[in-house]
Amino acid sequence: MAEHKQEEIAFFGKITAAATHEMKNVLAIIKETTGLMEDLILLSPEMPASLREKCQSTLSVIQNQIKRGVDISDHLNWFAHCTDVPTASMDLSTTAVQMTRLAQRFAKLKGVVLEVKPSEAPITVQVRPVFLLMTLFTCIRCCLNALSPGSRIVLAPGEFDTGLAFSFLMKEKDATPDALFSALSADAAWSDLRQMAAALEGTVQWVPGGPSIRLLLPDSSP
Amino acid sequence: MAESRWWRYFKLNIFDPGEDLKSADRYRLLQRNIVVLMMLVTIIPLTLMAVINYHQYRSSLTDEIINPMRLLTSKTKHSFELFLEEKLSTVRFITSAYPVDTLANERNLNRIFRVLKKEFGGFVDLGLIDCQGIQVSYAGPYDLLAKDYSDQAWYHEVTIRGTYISDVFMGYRNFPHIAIAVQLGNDECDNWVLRATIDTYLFDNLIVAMGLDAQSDAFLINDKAVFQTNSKFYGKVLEKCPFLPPPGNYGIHIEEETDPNGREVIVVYTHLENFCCNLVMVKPKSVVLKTWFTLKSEMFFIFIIGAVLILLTIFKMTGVLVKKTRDADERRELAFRELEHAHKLSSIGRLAAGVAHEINNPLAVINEKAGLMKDLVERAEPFDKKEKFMEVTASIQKSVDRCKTITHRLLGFARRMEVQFELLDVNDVIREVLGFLEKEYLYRGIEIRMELDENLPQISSDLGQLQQVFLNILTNAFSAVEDNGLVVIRTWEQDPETLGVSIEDNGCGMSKETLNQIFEPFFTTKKGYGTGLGLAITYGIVQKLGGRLKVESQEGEGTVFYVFLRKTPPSNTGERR
Amino acid sequence: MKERTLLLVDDEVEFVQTLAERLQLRGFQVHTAHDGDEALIQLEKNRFDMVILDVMMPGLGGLDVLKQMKPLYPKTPVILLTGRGSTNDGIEGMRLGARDYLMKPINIDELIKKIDENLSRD
Repeated sequence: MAEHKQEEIAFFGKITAAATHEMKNVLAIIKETTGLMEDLILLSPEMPASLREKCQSTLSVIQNQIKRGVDISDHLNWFAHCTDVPTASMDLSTTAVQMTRLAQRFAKLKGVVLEVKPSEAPITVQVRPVFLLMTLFTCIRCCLNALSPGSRIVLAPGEFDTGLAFSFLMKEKDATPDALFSALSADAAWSDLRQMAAALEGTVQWVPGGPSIRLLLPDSSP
Repeated sequence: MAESRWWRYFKLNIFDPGEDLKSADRYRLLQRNIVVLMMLVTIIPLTLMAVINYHQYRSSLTDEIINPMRLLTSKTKHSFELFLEEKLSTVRFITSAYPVDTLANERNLNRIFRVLKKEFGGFVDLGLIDCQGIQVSYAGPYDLLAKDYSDQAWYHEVTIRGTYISDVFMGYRNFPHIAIAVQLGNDECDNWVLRATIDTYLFDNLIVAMGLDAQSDAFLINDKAVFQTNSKFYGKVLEKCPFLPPPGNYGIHIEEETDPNGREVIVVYTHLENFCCNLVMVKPKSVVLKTWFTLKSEMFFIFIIGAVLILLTIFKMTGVLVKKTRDADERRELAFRELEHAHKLSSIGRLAAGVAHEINNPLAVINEKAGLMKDLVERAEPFDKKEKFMEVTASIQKSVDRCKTITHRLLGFARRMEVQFELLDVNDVIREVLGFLEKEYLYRGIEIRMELDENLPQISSDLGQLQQVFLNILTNAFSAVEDNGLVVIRTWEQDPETLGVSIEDNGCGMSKETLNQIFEPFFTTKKGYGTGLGLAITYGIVQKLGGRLKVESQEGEGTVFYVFLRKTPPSNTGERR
Repeated sequence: MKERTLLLVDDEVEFVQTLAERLQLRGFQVHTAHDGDEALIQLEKNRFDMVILDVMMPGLGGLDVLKQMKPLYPKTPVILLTGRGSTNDGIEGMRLGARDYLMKPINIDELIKKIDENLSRD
């Protein structure tokens, strides 16, 4: 039964990965086409000057947007490939960076800034990738639900005295840790998060000192 | 109202044992607790009732059995009294009917005696005794004429009392008899005595008439406990009886005694009126209480069987129930895990969707920018390569269109991971979707005919997905028909578990080859701008909802799409409201 | 022909500005707003023949703006822009009173066609 679920998830990942590849191909085409246009402009001295300038600035905007598209596609691709295997050895910093990027839009919609602070040294852990990502995403969601617009979340993986963990620092002006925690515990997603953490064989802690949520992982680096 | 503390404690310990134990142990513990509890609740009252009933039955049965004995003795007593009374009356009649002189004549006496014997049974002899106690006239088998009775006790008795009935005696004849004497008088003296002797075999008859069983005995004894009739077990006439009657005058007296043979017996004594004797009935306790013993053993038997049955049932039932509880718990666990998984997929879907959506933004910008350039170049004065420019920008826009396809496909796919069920009315959904397409069909003059079953029951399904399904099919129908064409929408209840929806158009229809491929992804007949995904996605959605999609088509005539929807979601998806 | 005035609302700045420019080339008068609050302020200040509204915006989303402006400006038609792959937003928006919707990236000719249809109705 569980294998079917795994297959389902892997299938979804495959389709997504395929889509991102195609997307990048098309973006590449656009990039070339844009490059072609830039060349054509350079090769057309008789083009009216104002038009020429306008086109050049427009084309550079397009190029920026292409980069943006490629960036997003890359992240989505990484995410899609996480579904390939049931367990994998994952680097915490890479995961944190990717997660931050993937969840960027959700944060933006809530008016919250989502940042990442990678660890200095690489830390790896053996987990179920999709489940970990889901748990991280749920963590972010909990933070977003509890914070008001204008706040900041800093996601930082690290090695703590209690074990390996992801720390989600919640910075809201004029909000006490207690107020934040009561908002958190009132959220239905918070109990989901606790269950997910348990299923990962880890735990979720509230650290009023941050204030932050700490997602402790099972201590098993390969 | 808050539950009292000890009730909660009780419940917790009985029904939720060992929270931290392994699952199998927990259920064993639960079973044990329930069994013990049920046993206590059933066996204790059963035992209590058995004990109470035992004592109740004992006393009431004893009464019930004693009473008939009482009655029988009473009746027999009356029989005896009546018998004796009758005999006495007969003798008295003779003394009243015939004067002394008549009776003194032996020939008369004999004649009277013969009549007496003939008409009334039991008379052995008849004799007249004068005032001196000498028998002067005698009728009977024995030689007793001139016998002197003056010193006999009975003779004195009768002179005092006027009548006398004797005990049984052997007297001169070695047969048990009783004598009845009545006083009469003439001019000479007052105490002439007419004496008759009665055979006691009549007593025996009366006792036989009691209808006693083989184990029981009844007999007459006098106040000195001398047998007046033969006893079956305890002695012959005139022997001493081992049972002593109670002294004085009494009604009926019942005693539990042990007889000389060692048997436990119940003895009923009753005193005969106007007669010396006591009627005694002896029944062995075992006979008397036979019914009680039977009942006792039956009760015991039933109690044991009942208890055994109860125990068996309890064990079996708790076993079954606990197993069911365990299964239900496990199923619930499984359902939670399934829901969790569904949750998982929808979370991923949401994340992927969010990201894919994000890609649309740069694409939109690129599209507009390229479009702007095209606009500007278009409106500018002609220059060398102007045409080329316009071509190239157009190609950028085409590429963007391709990206749009990709992201929309991915988003649609991701969205399908998230299925959310609620109760809805299919007719309403169809009307809503039509409202959305209103402008198109009004503009093109397409007639929409609705044949919706107004009594259509509500179903549990995903609103968004259903909208998508109908939208896709209707869009196809609109593409297929000419302007002013006709689209008929019908809804009905197909069977108790399914609804049916059909969308029929009178458009161009499809060939058999097309029909076979319409649900294939990327198959499209709309060259250039169809993604070929609409119907594939629709098919997938309907599958996910647990329904069925069917198409019928005739080239040149039209097409019908059938959608069959389940009223309740298939069991492997969770229902969330 | 009287010049038609449009309000474009989208948080993607480059997009909205470029689209505005293109519409202006086609003879429309275009104002822009980059979020829901700005949109409502603009609606107070000017009269618009049509509002083109992006659904997904941080803070006050397109559907919220729609809900708020409908009682205030019932006669002003609204066309929604959405990047989502489903038709839910469109149908939800129609339920809230929008006239039509388009999915991003949009085809400008399609947009203009829809603008024409809805303006000619009044």
